[in-house]
Amino acid sequence: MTTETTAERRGRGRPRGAYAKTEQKRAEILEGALAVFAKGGYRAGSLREIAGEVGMSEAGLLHHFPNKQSLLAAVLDLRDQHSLELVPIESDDPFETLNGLVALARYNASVPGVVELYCTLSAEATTPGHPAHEYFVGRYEYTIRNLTRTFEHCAERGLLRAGARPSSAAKATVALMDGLQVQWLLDRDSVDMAEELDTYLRGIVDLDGT
Amino acid sequence: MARRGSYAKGVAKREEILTAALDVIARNGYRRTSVRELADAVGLSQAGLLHYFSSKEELFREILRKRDEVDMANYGVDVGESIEGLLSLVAHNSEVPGLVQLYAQVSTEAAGDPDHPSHAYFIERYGTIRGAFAEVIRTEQHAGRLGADIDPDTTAALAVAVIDGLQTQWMLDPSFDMVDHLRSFWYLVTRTG
Repeated sequence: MTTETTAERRGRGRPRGAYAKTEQKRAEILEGALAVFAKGGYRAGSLREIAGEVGMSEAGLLHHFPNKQSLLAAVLDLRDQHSLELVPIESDDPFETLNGLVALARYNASVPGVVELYCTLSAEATTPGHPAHEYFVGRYEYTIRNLTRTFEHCAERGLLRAGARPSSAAKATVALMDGLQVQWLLDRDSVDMAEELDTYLRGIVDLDGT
Repeated sequence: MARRGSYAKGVAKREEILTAALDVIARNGYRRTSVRELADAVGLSQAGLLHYFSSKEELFREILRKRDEVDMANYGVDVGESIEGLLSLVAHNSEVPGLVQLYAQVSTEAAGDPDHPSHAYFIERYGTIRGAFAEVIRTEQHAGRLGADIDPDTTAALAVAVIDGLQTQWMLDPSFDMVDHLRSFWYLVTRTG
């Protein structure tokens, strides 16, 4: 009895390269979903619209994602992964995290579609029962918990301004990033998201301190 | 030839619709308030109500404009005077979740879409509010109550952003204390206290 490698097993019964094609199709669908959800929100976006955006049939789309909700989850997951790459939010080095936030704000200025998605979705999802409500509640809790730790680390090193409470600073930082996005979406010249965030952070943390 | 009184009646009816809408949405929430419900509240049919507004988007934009008008009448002077005035307005907002929700949904919907009928309205609104904040800061600086090293325009943009963002956190968790965090933010950023 011969043993097969995974590649050989995968190759049997499927045309070569099908896996890569599936992944590519999946990525295209996620891009299309992002565009549709960003523009009209989740509720109004339909699978048909997304399928149309990607140039496939609804049935074809359903081969990759069983329903709209799983599609949304996949889009958010992908973006979250990317954000985590830019912002080492669980790092013990507060400067890594805070500088990462500014880098994220700078990066966001290059992807208005993603910014639009989060703005429209987070506003829509504040009502309990919305499919993305739990996701946002969890995401905010995670982010604020970790940013609080970041500011506590700053405080431990004597680098947090007197009067600044770590948990309040964390909430204000997140609030700031959210609010700047709306202003920026409306009018790109009205605010520089990264600059404003950097100014705020430098006002409460000695970012040049050792 | 149009009857002379009909223009004034139209304006008055619009005002009545908008005032009623503020009340209904504040109580019921934005998602649970249909155009039909608003129409019922003012004794009109749905079609009758939309006769006064060219679209649902225009209706919601005018509701928000009315809201600002009412808030400025009630809090405007205080907001211009000190941060505590602004904090009162923010505290008031926590009593009208439906309107906060309406604002968040309409503003974000309009923000990303340059063709949205209310896109220009929100650009103007943010510009006005940022400008008003910056003026308050400058006045305080001239009076020596705020340091000269604070940049009024940057600080104004930060303050407006934080207020919006704190509202999002509050909508997700109604026990969130917007006023407390806004007050902390303000005193840190203006280097007072």
